[in-house]
Amino acid sequence: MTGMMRALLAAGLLTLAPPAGAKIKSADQMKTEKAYLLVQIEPVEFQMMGNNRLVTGVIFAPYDPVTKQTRENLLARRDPVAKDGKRRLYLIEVDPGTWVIAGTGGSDSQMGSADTSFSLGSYHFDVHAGELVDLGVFVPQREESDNPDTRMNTGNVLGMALFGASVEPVPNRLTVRPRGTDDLVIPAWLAVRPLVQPAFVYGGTFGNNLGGLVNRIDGKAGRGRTAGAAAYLSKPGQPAVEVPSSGSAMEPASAPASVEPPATPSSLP
Amino acid sequence: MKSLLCIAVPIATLASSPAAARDYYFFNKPGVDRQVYLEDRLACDALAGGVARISPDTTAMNQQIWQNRNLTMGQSAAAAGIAGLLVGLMAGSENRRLQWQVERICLADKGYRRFEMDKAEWKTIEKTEDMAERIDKWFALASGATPQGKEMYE
Repeated sequence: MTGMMRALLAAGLLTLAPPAGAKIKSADQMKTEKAYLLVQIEPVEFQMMGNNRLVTGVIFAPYDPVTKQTRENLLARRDPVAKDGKRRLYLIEVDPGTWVIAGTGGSDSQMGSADTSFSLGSYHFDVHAGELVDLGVFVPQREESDNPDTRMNTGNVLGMALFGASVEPVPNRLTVRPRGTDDLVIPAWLAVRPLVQPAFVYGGTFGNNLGGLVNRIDGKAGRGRTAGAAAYLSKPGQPAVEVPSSGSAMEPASAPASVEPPATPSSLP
Repeated sequence: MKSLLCIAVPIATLASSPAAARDYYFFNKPGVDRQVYLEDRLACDALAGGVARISPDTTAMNQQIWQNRNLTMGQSAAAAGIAGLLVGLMAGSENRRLQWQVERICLADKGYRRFEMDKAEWKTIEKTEDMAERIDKWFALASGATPQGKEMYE
């Protein structure tokens, strides 16, 4: 019953995050008044009687950095423009403006991999009409926990199946990295368009509009991290870099996305 | 600060939020400022409150019930009603668990650790009728330099 309840609650959650629009199959379907997000999403991996990989969606939302309010969510989960196994490449049509990576959702399973709102701190970024924005590769992961009830061991899972016990869910976190040579190939009709590198601004907070667990996008490692630091995805194959905030802690950085990385770049968490 | 204390409902929630927990515990961040503590608790209660607004989607379950040819219309109606009631009860329980978990994650994010406390002591605080006094007692535990009790996982 508990498993069914989790599934029902998850279904309820997903009703709040409608899928992105119809699949775009050619360049002439792209509108000049819209912006487009290109993002590769890796599966969530966890160990339980071997290595498991779950296809997971990522939720975006329009975001106001001043009022810290989000508007209607958009779920990248269906109709990828490319895929390989459980890796997916999505092209998402959005309105120009500021967007936030609002959370993860639409997991294949409720086996302790919880859909998560990044309400405690996430990246937001600006997109403009006509842009094709390369968000890079998103790698969602289960957060570490010292709670024994969250462990995906045989005893807990058998207890769940036989006695209605439950594996306590843990929130997800999400690492962002630039696209590399081993990643999914961008379709030829899309690859001819110029890609814009986004300027991610860290620290956007917002309400728990997804109704599930919450976390920072970078999980426990991000606790105490300064809001407002901008992170730029550099050229494909190069690591991301962070630069100090240029102003108010919650204001988007004004530096151009083409800023060159420093000599010793650090990775995005 | 004044505006915070003027909001009766959030304060009531703040003062009583540990009441729904299975375990008896308090949160501690040595030396935390009282106003910061209140704001942290209110912010985390708001995130936890987000859980309660989600209702389970019973569409698929109801479809299975109503499309079951072995049931009469009356039986389907009864089955859907009973199932809906059970789902509602279970959803309430699951929601509360999620709310506690969201509260723990949020307060840990703000630097609080969680410690076990004696059930009788916990009840004594919760039975304190004066709201300000009750908050004072929770704040004393929250801001103490050397929290007593076993530390609990996040």
